[in-house]
Amino acid sequence: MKAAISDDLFFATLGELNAKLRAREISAVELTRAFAQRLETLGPRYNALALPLTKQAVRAAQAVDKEFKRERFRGPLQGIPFGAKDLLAYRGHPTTWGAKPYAEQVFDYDATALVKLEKAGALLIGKLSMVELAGGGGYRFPAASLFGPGLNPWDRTRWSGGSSSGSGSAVAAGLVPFALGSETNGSILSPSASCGVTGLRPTYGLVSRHGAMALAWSLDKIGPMCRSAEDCAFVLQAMSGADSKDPASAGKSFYYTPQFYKPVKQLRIGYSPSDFSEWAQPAARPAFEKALAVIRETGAKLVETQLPDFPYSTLTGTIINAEMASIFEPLIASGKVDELADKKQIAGLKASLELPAKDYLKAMRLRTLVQHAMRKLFIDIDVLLAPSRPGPATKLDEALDRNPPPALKGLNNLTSAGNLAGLPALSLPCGFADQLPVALQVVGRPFSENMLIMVGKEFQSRTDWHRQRPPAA
Amino acid sequence: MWRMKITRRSLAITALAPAAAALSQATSQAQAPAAGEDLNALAHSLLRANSEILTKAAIPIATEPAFQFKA
Repeated sequence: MKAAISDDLFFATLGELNAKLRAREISAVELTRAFAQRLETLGPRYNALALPLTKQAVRAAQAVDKEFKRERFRGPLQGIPFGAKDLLAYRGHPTTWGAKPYAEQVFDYDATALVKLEKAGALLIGKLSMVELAGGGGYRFPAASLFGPGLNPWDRTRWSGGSSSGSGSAVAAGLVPFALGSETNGSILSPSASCGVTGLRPTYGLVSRHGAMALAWSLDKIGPMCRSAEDCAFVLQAMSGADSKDPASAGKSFYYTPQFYKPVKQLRIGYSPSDFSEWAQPAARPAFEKALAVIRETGAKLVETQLPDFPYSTLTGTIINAEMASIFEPLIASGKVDELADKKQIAGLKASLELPAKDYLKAMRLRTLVQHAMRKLFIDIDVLLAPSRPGPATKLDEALDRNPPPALKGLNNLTSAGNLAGLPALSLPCGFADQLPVALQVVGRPFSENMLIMVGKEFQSRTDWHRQRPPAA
Repeated sequence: MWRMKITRRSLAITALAPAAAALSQATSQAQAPAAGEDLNALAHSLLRANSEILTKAAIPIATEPAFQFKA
């Protein structure tokens, strides 16, 4: 029954791990100990670990092993260790939100997403680092975190992306089979792309935010970061669903049922050639062009399109600033905001208190128009396709606000547009530039996660970018 | 004879310490604002710039904000 823990196991998909557990080639306790030890040993190398939870996880794994012994199977997550961004409450343990002022914060309840994963038999082995307050206020440098800058497993002089930095690094380096991240405006897609993992931003309201730090109530989402599109489906199925504790809960569940959707070859995929030839950084263009060719080979119809004309970054910036100002007013008023690591972020948080109500309301009214326009766009198109980021991970000492956004038509504002409209998105590793991963994002209508996962699965059946491992891991 | 217990974790920490210190130094240096830069003024100017863009945006009078209150 005992199997030697090989490196391959640390990079196996959830399906592969679950098959080994069910066949009792390895026990849940062995798997949990192996991942927990790896997370504790290598996590600090990437500033990825916020809090190890090995003891509790091993105890829970023992119970799972008893279930396997009695052939009580709960599903693909049973006995699988995982990590969660440190903005999710976990009873009796510190939940720091990545920020010094909250370093001692302890909740007496668990985030709903964690409760649901626990019910599916998944085992939380650690909290993972993040950008302080999920980046609220606008940070300038990757070091904006209680845990230091998220270091990219592909190259530790590069950032792992944010704000779900530890989640990206930990999955990429094989420290956890999957992790939870959160996104208000790019915080799942960006680290997934930078670290070469597959990340899913669910439709707004599909996953309960209860127990998660609020940055902007009307934009926050919790989602999985995994090794493959199908793994994202397994995790989403376990954590989605109605929750009376979340006022924004859509009251819907996600069931992974690709058989009920039209095949990828029948899809109409909207894209903009300028995203790939002009917006993308020169080093990344060959990888993006090849990825686009793979999408063409699936038989799907590629249709040129562009986003409706709106000031997307102004809208997300204003909405986040206004909601964040209300949420963090006590922190700002107490002066403890000055304990944050990033000076620009501190200034941004303070200034947000002076944002006029009329600006927030105007932004929210324009958001209504964005939603209508996106709905219209999806009448003729099934999914939108664009680079997740224009290039690979940024250097650690590079100012993140250095380059102004390019004024291009196309889909290069898709991350903001998708978040404003509450749309789901899937980030898929699609090649390398300067030996660092780059990725595509696929965005669909609200609650079209099955379609996105089908596209992702088809793409990943034709490529092996999602199977690549960082050299040092 | 006195024997020191060496764990894999302590070995890893020792091995990685110089690199971590160098990275930490690089990032803390990078965090300092440029000389003479007023970050508070910059934050306020960003708010103003956003406000101007929003003021210029035309919007039908019947458009309601995109949030819902469920009783």
